[in-house]
Order: sequence, then C-alpha cells, then structure tokens
Amino acid sequence: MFKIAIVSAAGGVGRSTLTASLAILLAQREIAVLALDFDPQNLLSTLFGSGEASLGGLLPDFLTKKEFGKSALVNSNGVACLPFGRANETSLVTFEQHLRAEPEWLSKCIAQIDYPSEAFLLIDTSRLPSLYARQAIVAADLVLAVLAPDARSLALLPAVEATLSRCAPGSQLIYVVNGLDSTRTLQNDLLARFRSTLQMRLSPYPVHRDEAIPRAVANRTNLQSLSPDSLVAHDLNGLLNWLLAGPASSLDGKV
Amino acid sequence: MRHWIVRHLGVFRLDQPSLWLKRLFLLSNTDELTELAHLKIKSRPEPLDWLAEKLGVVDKRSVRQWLLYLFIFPPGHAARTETSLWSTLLTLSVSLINLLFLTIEWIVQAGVRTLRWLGQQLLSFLPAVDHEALGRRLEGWLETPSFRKPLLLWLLVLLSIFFFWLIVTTPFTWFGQFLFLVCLWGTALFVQRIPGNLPALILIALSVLASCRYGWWRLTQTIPLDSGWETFLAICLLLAEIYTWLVLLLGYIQNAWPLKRHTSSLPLDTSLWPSVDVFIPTYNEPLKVLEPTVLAAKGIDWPSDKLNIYILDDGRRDEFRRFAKEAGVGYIIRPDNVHAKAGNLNHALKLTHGEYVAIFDCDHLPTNSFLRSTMGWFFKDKRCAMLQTPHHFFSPDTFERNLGTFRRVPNEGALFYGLIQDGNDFWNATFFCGSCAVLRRGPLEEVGGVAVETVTEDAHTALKLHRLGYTTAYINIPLAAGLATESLSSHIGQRIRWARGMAQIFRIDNPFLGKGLSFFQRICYSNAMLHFFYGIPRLIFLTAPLTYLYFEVHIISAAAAMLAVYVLPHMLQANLANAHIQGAHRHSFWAEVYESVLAWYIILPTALAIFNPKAGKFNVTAKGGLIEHSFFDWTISKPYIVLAALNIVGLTIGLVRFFFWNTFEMGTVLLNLTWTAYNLLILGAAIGVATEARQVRVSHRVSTNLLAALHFMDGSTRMCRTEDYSMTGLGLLLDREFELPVKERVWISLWYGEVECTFPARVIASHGNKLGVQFDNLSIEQEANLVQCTFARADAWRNWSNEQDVDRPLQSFKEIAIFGFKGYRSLWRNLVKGLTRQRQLVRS
Ligand SMILES: Nc1ncnc2c1ncn2[C@@H]1O[C@H](COP(=O)(O)OP(=O)(O)OP(=O)(O)O)[C@@H](O)[C@H]1O
Ligand SMILES: [Mg+2]
Repeated sequence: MFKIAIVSAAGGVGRSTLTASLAILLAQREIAVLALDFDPQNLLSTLFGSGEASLGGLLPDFLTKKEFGKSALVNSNGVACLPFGRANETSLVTFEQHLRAEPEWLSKCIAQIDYPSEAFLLIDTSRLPSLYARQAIVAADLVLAVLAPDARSLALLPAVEATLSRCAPGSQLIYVVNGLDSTRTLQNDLLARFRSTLQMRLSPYPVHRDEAIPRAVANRTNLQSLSPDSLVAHDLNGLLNWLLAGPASSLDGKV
Repeated sequence: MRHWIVRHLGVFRLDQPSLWLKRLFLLSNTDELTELAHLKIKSRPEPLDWLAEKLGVVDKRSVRQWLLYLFIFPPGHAARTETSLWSTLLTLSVSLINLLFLTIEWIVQAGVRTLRWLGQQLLSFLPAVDHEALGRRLEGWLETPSFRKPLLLWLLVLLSIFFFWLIVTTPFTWFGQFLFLVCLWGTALFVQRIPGNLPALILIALSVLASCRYGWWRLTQTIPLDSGWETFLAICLLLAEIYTWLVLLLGYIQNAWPLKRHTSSLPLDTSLWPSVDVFIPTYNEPLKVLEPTVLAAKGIDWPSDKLNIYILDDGRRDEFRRFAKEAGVGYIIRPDNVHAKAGNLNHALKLTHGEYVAIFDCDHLPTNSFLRSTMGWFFKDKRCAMLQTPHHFFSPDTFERNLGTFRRVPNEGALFYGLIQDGNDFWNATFFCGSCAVLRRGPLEEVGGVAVETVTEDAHTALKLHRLGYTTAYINIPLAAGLATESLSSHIGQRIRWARGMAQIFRIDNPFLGKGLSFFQRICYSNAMLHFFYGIPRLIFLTAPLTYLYFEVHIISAAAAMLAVYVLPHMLQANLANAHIQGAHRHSFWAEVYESVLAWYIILPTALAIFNPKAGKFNVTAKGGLIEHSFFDWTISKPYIVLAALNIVGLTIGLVRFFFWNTFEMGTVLLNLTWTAYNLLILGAAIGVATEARQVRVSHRVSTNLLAALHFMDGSTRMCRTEDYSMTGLGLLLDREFELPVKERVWISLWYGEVECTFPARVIASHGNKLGVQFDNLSIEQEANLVQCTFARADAWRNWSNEQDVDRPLQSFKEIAIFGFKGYRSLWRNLVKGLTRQRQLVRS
C-alpha cells in the first residue's frame, strides 16, 4: 500500500481539500484508495458527500477497542474514507496520551488493514506541529506538504523540514502549492521563490484557487463531474500524474 | 503610336534613353505616372462616330479602346436601354470566353486524371519491392572495406569517365535514343523510391548523363549554320540552354550531400560561456514591429551578465530611445546612414565588446533557445566564424497569399534554407544571410566588419571569411521567425536587391578568382551568383517557340521527333532527380513560376551591376502595409501580360499552321504548340500572383495549438486551447459550447515550460465553442511574457512544415495549370472591372 501523509504548517491551506480531491481522482482511475482522517476536526467525510460529520470513526473504535478501520465508509465514487469520529475533550486526552506513549501506533494499525498492495492510503492530518501529523509522517512512505502562495507558508518552510527530519528522516518530502491566484503578481513571485528553493521537490502543477472547489462541496458533488474543464481539475490531474510518475513511483514494491 | 507608348509607359521625355530603360525594366513609381485625362472631342457626324457611339468608345483615337469595346467589353446597361444586335453579340463574346476558360480547365483536369490512372495501372504490374530495406542495404554496401582501396577507386573513376564519354557522344537513331529514354526513365523511377542519399547520387548521375547527351547532340547536330538570322536566334537559345545546363550541374554538386547538422551541446559550466551582443538594426520600421523582437531577444536563455541587446536605430527616433530605456536594452545611433545596414552594424561593432555578435533583423523574433542551440558549434569548431539559422516566416508571402498555398506548398525560401544551405554546409560554404545568425567578433573584425562594397553585404562577408580560411556552419532548425514581405512589389524589390548584390560580388570579388577558397566553395558561390542571371534565359524560353510560330524560323534544326526523344530524357531525369533531392523543399515546376515572376525585373539590375558595379540605386522596395482591398497589380504584371498576349497570338497562329499552312511538318508545329501552351500556364500563374489578395490583420495571427486557461471575474476558471495567437489577441477553442458576453473582462493563462503567465483581456467574439479575446493594455513585462509564451517558445516553429503536401510532379503540374487558368480568369475579370470603372469615369 502506498501511504501518503498530507501535512502543512499553516492552517486552512487545503490539506483536506487536496486529500479528498486526490482520493476521488484515484478512484476514478480505478485505483483502490482509502482516505484516512487523522484530524480531530473530523471533517474529511463531509468532503466526500456526507451531510454531516460522521459519528463513528477511528477514535470511537479505539475507545471501544474495536478493530481499526471497522467504521470506514464508502461513497458512490468508490472512495473509502475512515473518519476520525466524534470526539470530546476527555476522549481526546486519553487518545493523545496513548499516541504520545506509542509514536508508531498509527503505523501498526495501518499494517493490520488488509488492503491490496497497489492501493493508496491518503492521510489527512491537523496542522503542524501536532501529534497526529507526527504519527502520520511516521506511518507514511511519502509526505506531501501543502503550501499556500503567501509569506506565511514561506516562513514556515524550515519548520516542516525540521519536523520531518526529526520524525522520519528516511521519508521523502515533497511539496505542492494550493490556492494559487495566478492573476496576482505577488503570488506568482512567491511561486517562483518556492520553485527556486525547492526545485524538483515542488510539484510542477500548482493547484489554482478556483470557485469550482467550494461550489462542488456546497453541491455535494465531486469537482471532476461538476466542472471537468476547470483549471483546478487540470491541476489536480497533473499533480496526480506527477505523483504517480515521479515521487510515488519510487514506492513501488514497498508494502 | 508614339503617343500611346508615352502614355502607357510614362516616358515623358522621349529623347532620354535612361528613362526608357527605367520605365521598361523597373517598377514604376506610382506618383510619377500621371494618368492623362481622356477628353471627348467634338466632331462632325461620321460613320465611325456612329459606331463609336453605339459601342461606347469614348476616345476614338485609342486603338486599345476600339479593340476592347469591340471584342471584350460587355455593353453596359447604363449607356443604352435598347438591346441592339451589337450588344447581344458583345455579351455573347464575353460569355464565350468565360466558357472557354471553363472548358480548358476541365480538359486539363481530365487529362491529368487519366495520366495518373495510367501510371497507377503500370505500377500495379510491377512486383512489389521493399525500398526502405534496399536503401539500408545500399548504405551498408558503401561502408564495405573494398571501397576504401584508393587504387580501385581511381580505376573505377577512370572507367566511369570512359563509359560516360562513350554514352554521351555515341549517336543513336531515333529508335535507339528512344530505348535510351525508356531505360533511363525506368531505372530512375525505380531508384527514386529508395530513400537516402546514395539513390539521390544515382539519380543525379543519370540526369547528368541524359543532359550531357542532349547537350552534345544539340551542340554538334542542331545548329542551323547557313542563314544569318536563324543562326543568331539559334545561338541565343543555345546559350540560354547552356546556362541552365551549367546551373543544373553546379546545383547537383552543391546539393550532392546535404550535411543536416545537429545542435552541439555547450559545456555544463556556464562560466565558460562567452558573452554575446545581440544587434537589432532598424531603419524605418514602426515600433510595433521592433518591440516583440526586442522582448524576445531579452528572453533568450543565456547568463544575463553575458547577454547584451542593442537597438541600432538608423532612424534616430525618440520613441525608440524611450522604448529601449523602458525595456532595459542598449540603444545605439550614428550621425549618418552611410552603407545602410552594413554601416550600421559596423558602427555598433566599434562600440561594443562581446565575444560574439548575434544579428536579428528587426522583424525576426528569436526563440529563447536560440543561443543554447547554436553556440555549441563555436566550442566544437574553433575556426568557426559564423553560424546561420533559417529565416522562417510565420505569415504567408505574396505567392502563398495570392495563390492560397500557405503551409501546403513549400515557399520560395524553403529551397534555399531547407536544402541549399545544408548542401553548402557540406562544402563549408554556408552563406551569411544577414539575420538570425551568430558571428565571432574576432574574424568579423579581421575582414573589416560587415562588407560594404555590395548591396548584399551578408553573402559578401561570408565570402571574405571563407577566403581567410574560416569555417561557417548552418543549423536547419528555425530558431527565429518573422513576417514575410507583404506585397508582390516589395517581394520583387527585395529580390532585385539580392540579384544586384550577387551580380556585384560576381564582378568585383569573383569567387572563381582570388585566393583562399576550396574548389567546391568556389562552385557553391558561383552557383549562388549565376543563379541570379536567369532573367534573360527565362525570357528566351518564354518566347523561343514564337520564332517558329510567327515567322517559321527553325531555331533548332532537327526533326521534331528526334528533338523530342533527346530533350525528353534530359527534362525527365532532371525533374526526377530534383524531385528526389528537393521534393520536400520545392515542388516540381514551382521554380518556373517563381523565376518567371522575377525574370523581367532582374535583367537590368544584374546586367548593370556586371558592367558597372558601383552604379545607381535600385532600391524600389515598396513598403506595402496592409492590403485592404483585393486588387490587381497592373503595373507589375505588365511584362507578363505582354508575354502572355504574345504567346496567345502564337498559339492561335500555331493552330492555323497545324491545320492549314504547315501540314507537312505537323510534328514541329505540335512541339512548338506544346511549348507555348506550357509557357502560357506558367505565365498565367505569374499573373495570378499579381492579384493581391486582401490582408486585413494588423498583427499576423499564428495558428498553433497551445494550452491556455480562462479566469472569469466570478473566480471560476476554464481550460482551453489556442487556435491562433498574435501580439494583440488570441483565438481560443473550448471543449464545449460556451457563450460569453462581448466586452466581458477575463484573464488568460499561457505557459512556457512550467511558468504560467496571465494576461488581462476582453472578449471580442464568442461563437459556439470559439472565443476571440483581445489583450487589455498589457504592461511591458506582460508583453515580454506574452512573447515568451508564444513566438519565443523553443519549439514554436519546430514542426511547421509537417502538414505540407509531398511533392508529386503530376499533382504539382496540375496545381500550376489551375493557377495558370485562374490567373487568366482573374486578369479577365479585372480587365472588365477596370474598364467599366474607366468608362463610367469618362462618361460622368
Ligand atoms: N484550490 C482551492 N480553490 C478554492 N478554494 C479552496 C481551494 N483549496 C481549498 N479551498 C477552500 O479553502 C478552505 C480550507 O480548505 P481545507 O479545509 O481543505 O483546508 P485545510 O488545510 O484542511 O484546513 P484546516 O487547517 O482547517 O484543516 C475550504 O473552504 C476550501 O473549500
Ligand atoms: Mg482539514
């Protein structure tokens, strides 16, 4: 199974959006995919068309000592999603204590799930620094860091690098820019900055800011069927192709 | 008569011979030609007057009017209301001629179709051969060691010379010669299908054989030596033939083995890369033309501290100075304009210091990979002084526009840049063409800068470099592109300059004399120069059959059948060999059209340059801008019209000879008739070129399929592809139908490599899934980005000629025949139109 953790140091840059979009695209290409919500916000399932945040999920399962992955849902596009599940303060405290004690908890749990070897696992996380993201990074083969084309993301770049080298020095870290408004000179300049510092590690396909994304969420449809010829649909396809041809292709054989 | 000539040629001083020459051979200056008003003269009633009134002839002394009104002109309704016998008759003649055009067109088409069908039938009888495999085997065979022994080689050469001489000089009976024709032709048809260079050499050998044999026979057996007049004409024809024979042979040598050089890589360490000065000379072109070129040059991929761009403004315009400052490039002017472009470049050479100089005419936009693709050769070959790349045009030239062959038939320049330069390169004789080239500063200064002695400074500079033993290189990859000449008159003007310059070099720095050149370099240069002397020979060929048809003069003293079996292999083999060598760059028979258009106009400049290389200025380049309405260029087409008229009369006389007067030598008449008919077709095509088609766009649109994206004001986006682009707007193609209000503001994304650039624009047309947008006040950075995303892309012109038709001689002939007819039809229509207008003018 190819495990990709989607992380970012800044909040609201589109981790969940990218996770969901990539999952849907993979499913459309008939590649088995599981999206794992490892963020207490528990919102990922809403991006797959569910009306409200799911009650069940990996946290309730953990508390009731059920098998990991029991409460995964599958939507009409064939995307499987394992929600975080509803949490309250006390349950979170217990859970986080456990996570702190066992940094490889998620890794182990994932190893237990029986999934085809060529399947993809996409892990949405909460923003760095966080216990959840750290567990995801340890578990993943590839870490995809999301950047917004703004000064904040640029300033936080070293933090991301540091976290990765601390948690999982062996993992591969790549970047993607999301929410680019290319009609703004400033954003284009920032993109150029990212390009020159990150070089080959930055996806050549920045994902543009596009009304089609919130519109698809509001209509509870997926982007690819709502506006297939939008620029952002093109970007996401490009991003996935790049992942499959480059970074993710080196995952071949790793199970 | 005198009066008529004066009026129609614009010779206003009869006793001034130079004026006659000028008017006859040069393009006339429209403002010098003043139309003389037709005055109506009051006169006594006369029978002639009555007829004139009936016909509508206004100027009774004008022979032309009488002729035209009698035979050609449809009687207008405005003039008379009653339908007389006369007018019906006249209308009849008009429609009859129209009908004639249609019938002949149909007959020719049908003829070509049957010929093609016959050819296919014949081929289907023959066994199938894998020509590709054969080609490979041939190449391998050449590599075998037995070919490496010098003794064997010399023996082979001696033997071949002996047999060659034997075949050329042995007289055959007509039947023997006929067999010779069939054998050669059969072999050539077979060899022609094998790809590669060796088969081309075999075809060349066959062609040389056939041509030499024809030449020998012509020289020894067909000159009428008994009568003075006949002998004189015969020798004229013979000389013209010798000229074409010579040019054919020289051309074969020149193009025997096109080098087809690839790009050479640069050292990885960019600190080793040399500094380059980019010169963009300009004189009177508008800023609009220069701007994209400068922006494209700025985008050339090269270390920025080693790339300096200079505008060399001979017009000394403030507007240009401001632009140079804004764009951040150098601006150089000089106090005078001596030696035009060459002087301008030399002046800039003194003020700059880059190790290399790249030169772009102000309307040639370089692509960003220009230096990266070219500079490698200077590292590889330390003696290399100049590297030339093709002049590529993204707009149709006059021929392409007026005949509608853009991107379908290779244009006039394609042969030179597609083949001849590659051929020259093999002999280390690549010419410098004035633009889109890189020169090493050292050697250039060694020869005293760009040559100033002739009007084709570029070729002359290369010659000087070669004489000093430097090498030159050619890369046949279009790395820059520009606009083609706009009108026929400017095209002719430009060619006149080339012809004159080449003739000047031939005279003052003859490549066959002087030191420093290899034998083959001499051949390449001589051919390039001799080529421009085709004026008189071409005219001779266009009129030669008339001597017989008009005066029954036999300028070739041989039986028609004998002439046919000798001349046919010569022409067939030359055609087949050239189709094989040049097919991709020049379709069969097009050379005739290109040359016929120019023949008349280059005679005098070349002749004068030979006799007095320093004489006069002939720069008649009429800078046409837009051609707003289609029109027929009467001034320029005058010589072709005269020639065509002569040939038509000849054809008519010939028909009479065939059926009544010369029935005893029908073969001869037939031969001359065929020749005349062929000439007429070529002339027709030349006339067709003079019908200037409308050209409306200010900035030419290049059709290319590029990725683009639209950003709408509400934050949504849409991917699309471009249909065409220009500096002012885009044509876009969407996947699905999409209506947008006109004037709607949008942003457009285009990419070069990974870099995305966005441009503000407004919708100007929206129709189905097509969208036209116009850019909205681009800043200079945005314009630079636009150039980078479009004209300056490294692969912008890479696959330009992929969609071109392949050369099929019959198809090509058919096409030219059709153009010929269309030319006459257009001439006819314009004649009628022009006369109607004139009559109305005179009446009112
Ligand atoms: N490319 C885009 N174009 C337009 N809107 C986008 C784009 N990407 C994300 N958004 C919007 O930005 C908002 C935040 O996105 P998202 O929830 O995916 O970010 P996140 O990084 O997961 O945030 P959080 O830190 O809260 O988890 C959402 O409303 C989403 O619709
Ligand atoms: Mg989120």
